[in-house]
Amino acid sequence: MSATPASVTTGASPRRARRLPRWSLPTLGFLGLAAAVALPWLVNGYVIALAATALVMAVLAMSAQLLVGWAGLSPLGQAGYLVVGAYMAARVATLTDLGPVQVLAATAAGAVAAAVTGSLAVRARGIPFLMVTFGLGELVHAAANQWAPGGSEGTHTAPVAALPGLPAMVRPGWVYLYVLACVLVIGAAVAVLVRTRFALLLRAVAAHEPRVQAAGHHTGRLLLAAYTIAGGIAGAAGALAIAVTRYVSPADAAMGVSALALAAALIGSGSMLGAGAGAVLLVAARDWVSGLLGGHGPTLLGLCFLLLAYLPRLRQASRTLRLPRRRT
Amino acid sequence: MGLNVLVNPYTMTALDGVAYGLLLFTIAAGLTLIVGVAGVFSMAHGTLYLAGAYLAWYLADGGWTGLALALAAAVVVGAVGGAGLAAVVRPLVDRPLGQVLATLGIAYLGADQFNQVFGAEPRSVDPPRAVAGSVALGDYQYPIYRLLFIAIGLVLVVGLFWLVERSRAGAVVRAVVADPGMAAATGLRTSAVRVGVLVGGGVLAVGAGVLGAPVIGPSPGVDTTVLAYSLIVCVVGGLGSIRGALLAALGVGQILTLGVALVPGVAAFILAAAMLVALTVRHRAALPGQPA
Amino acid sequence: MTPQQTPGRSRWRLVVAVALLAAVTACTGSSLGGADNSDEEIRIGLIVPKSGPYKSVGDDQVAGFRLALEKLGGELGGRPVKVIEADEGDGKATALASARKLIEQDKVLALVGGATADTVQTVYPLLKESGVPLIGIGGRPSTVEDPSYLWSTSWLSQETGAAIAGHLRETVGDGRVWVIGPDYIGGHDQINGFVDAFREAGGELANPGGEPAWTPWAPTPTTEFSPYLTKIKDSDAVAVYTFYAGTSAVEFVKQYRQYGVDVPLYASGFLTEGAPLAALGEQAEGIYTSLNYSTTLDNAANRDFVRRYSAANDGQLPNLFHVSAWDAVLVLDQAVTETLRGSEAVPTAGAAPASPPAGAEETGEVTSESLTAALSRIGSIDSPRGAWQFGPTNHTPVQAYYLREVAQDGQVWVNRTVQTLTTLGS
Repeated sequence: MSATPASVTTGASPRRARRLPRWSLPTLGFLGLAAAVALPWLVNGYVIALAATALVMAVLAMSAQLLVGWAGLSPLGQAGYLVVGAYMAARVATLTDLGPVQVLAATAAGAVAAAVTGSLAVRARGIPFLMVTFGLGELVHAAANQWAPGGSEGTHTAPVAALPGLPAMVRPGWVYLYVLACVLVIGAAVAVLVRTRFALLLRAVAAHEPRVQAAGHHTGRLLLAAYTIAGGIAGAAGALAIAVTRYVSPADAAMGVSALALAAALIGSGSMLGAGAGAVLLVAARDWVSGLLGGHGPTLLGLCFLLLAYLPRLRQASRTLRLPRRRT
Repeated sequence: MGLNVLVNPYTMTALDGVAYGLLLFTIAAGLTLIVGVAGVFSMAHGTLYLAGAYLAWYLADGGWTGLALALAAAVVVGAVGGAGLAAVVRPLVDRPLGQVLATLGIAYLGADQFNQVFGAEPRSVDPPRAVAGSVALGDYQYPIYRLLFIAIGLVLVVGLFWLVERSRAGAVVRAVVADPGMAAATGLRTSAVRVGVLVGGGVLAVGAGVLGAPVIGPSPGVDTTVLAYSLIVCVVGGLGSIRGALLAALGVGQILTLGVALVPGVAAFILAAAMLVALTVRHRAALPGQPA
Repeated sequence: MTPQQTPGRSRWRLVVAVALLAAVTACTGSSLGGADNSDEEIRIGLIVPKSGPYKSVGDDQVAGFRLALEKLGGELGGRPVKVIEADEGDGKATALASARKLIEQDKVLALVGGATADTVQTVYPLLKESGVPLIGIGGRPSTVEDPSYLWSTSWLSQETGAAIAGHLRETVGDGRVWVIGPDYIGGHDQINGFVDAFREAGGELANPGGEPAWTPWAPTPTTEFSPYLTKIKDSDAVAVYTFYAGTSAVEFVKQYRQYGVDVPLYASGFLTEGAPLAALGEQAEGIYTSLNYSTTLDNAANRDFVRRYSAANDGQLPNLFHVSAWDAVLVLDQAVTETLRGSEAVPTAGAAPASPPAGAEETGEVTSESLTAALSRIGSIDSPRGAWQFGPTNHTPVQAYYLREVAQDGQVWVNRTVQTLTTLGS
């Protein structure tokens, strides 16, 4: 490998970035993909189920990242739209066990819910936005407890079939592969989205809203559109969630889930892949490591959050998010 | 006597609402100062309350010495907690999200540690025997301690108002809130003020825990509940406003008692809806700016 | 200032994360082999709450389980036992992950646990898929389509209320009873169990509208009962029936006393079982409750059980959760003995589409299938609560329910057994 590693960056030459051969990144990406696909044959069912859960959280993290990294808004209520999507998928599951149909229905439900509640949410910025989304998430939680089928005990759903004609998937390995496929599709769609002009406008709004307004754009509508799309992605995550756990309950809308998605988005500091990776890491910490430690999941998650708060990366993400009085 | 006309299930419930509301005010006053004045978005406030409640449980001995001891311990723990919060948040001055994450992390850690140390059972705290009984109001009985708590709450309200509006310390705090740059230019130590507010808010929260333990006792999950209610009160009342926190807390107290009696099942929604309405209607006013 | 995008670094992170995950999971063993316990040891998975609102129940369950195992010398049916514990958390995602871990990674023969109906609900599909039975020792949903793999040593939520309804009807005669409970499925089951039986016996509710009062449960269970207590005082009720557990139970009784409601209080036993009684002490005096256990029951098994527990726990008294877990050990012991004795496996009753294969049952090989089959054959369990056996329909105990009164026994507050109410179970 003829990599030319730069000398340890000193203050003197900040521009000497690390240079790797051009083929290294795509190759590593391909290897990573191959590893992900081969996972079911390498590990046992428990770890595969964890991996599938991590992927679902990665999708939720992407939905949060659209708002954090692009629109400059920090949502603490994306789990609410995940639950809306999950219940919609559970509903559709009684009609058909085709996974992709459920995902589409859930995406639509999540988007609609986000559009309706977003008109309230996008009036705020910064910390008030955080609070509003927190309130909305709690509202969904309460509503699900009151009115969703199964109430606070939740409902079970039937196994999902990936394609018409295939039998419903029961083994966790197949479910994982299905979720992986869906996540790749969603990831591709998101990758296209963040390269559009719309995404650029969102970045501009995050940087300096009055300037964008002066340029003639209706920033409220732009943010609402972003919020709606994020809600749709969260809804899709909900459909995938019930494919994995075959169970949905109001507790899935708890603040802890939204906090995890937000934290993952922050780890990712402005990139979708980073948000996904962050979600994988946090789920590994919360579920897998706490499984080893025998039940101190909250402590571990707390430590993770504490550490994350100090990561210098966050400086970039939160610079786009100021307390209103400091906005210049 | 006219008392019998006044005293009926609804007024009894409303009286309870006042007690509950004042308890919420005591807790939320600390939070609104911390968020509005020190600019620290603290999700660990419920943890402070829980610490105070466990202190009360641990030191309660049925008499006044236990209570006094618990209050003294509350001041110490609150001061340490506030100072700790200041230290934790210091590198995160301009990063509200970092503050949310850090304080959330502390809250998770604290909850788990409380479980470890005090066990996961719900605990019941009794006030000193002298005030543990009930007094007859018309045909009904009312716990003496809650009446006492209303009195304490009112004293606290007056005290806080005086502190913020009439005292020099309050003037300094208001100056730092209104324009930190100018305040610093006139020689005020803004960082010291910030730490002072954090310490004061911490002491208020832990003290509220000690005094409020007979009403909202220590048990797992109380920190989340208390945090949620405090946040709602702060948001509806306006961040940094003591007056707003008082009105909002009384309102929330009534919703949680009278509202539950009149329209059960909907009370939870009313709370969430009130918060959302307040946020959207007044989101510009939800800026830290008016301390009282 | 626009947020910097760092795609290179993020791609690295993803690759690193995946690689790390793969490396680490490779260490956990990648065998796709089936569950075989060809070595002597029997592995049992104990899934209880170790975090969250039900942690104290979980601690009690573990204590009861381990105490019984100690009594049997660490063996079930003569075979050494390895117990692997896992956290069911709030009964949802954590419970599923823990159950998966126990079944697929630790390859346990059977699961024991489930403090709440939520956990049983969540884990239920996994049981069928993997053929691993669950000995439920806590709450469970009242209806389960196919209980082949679910065997409970605990209770059905409706039973506590149904047991006492007849007695209460006799006690109050024509008087009316005020009924109040928490507004969630568990609370509904408990209260409706009472209300249905009470109405059938000819009783009437004193609530306005004739329907039970439901107190808010979501987003958090309410602890402010004064609105209801003042209504109770205003009404003509001659008795109050309720169900609460945990913190709500403590606050309800406290406020019941503080607001001077002097109507006799009857309740489902959970109001004064374990932690709430310890917290309330004198304030709970005189409350009548209905439950399938009491520490003052006078039978040999209970005397032995209470003696062992007190000796190991500083003189404290056990509660129903300890007993359910204790009984789970007795059940497993009998089931393993039955399996080792060996006989043709008979698929369990009920339409079980995935009936256990009539495979490894010759000469008593202990597998999940043979264990499940054996569970349907075991007889009566000599439990501290009295003798019981599994009911054929729901696989819950057919057991006696007792009327208990909170009274002082020396220095300690206990639920003193007043009489046996009835025997319920299916």
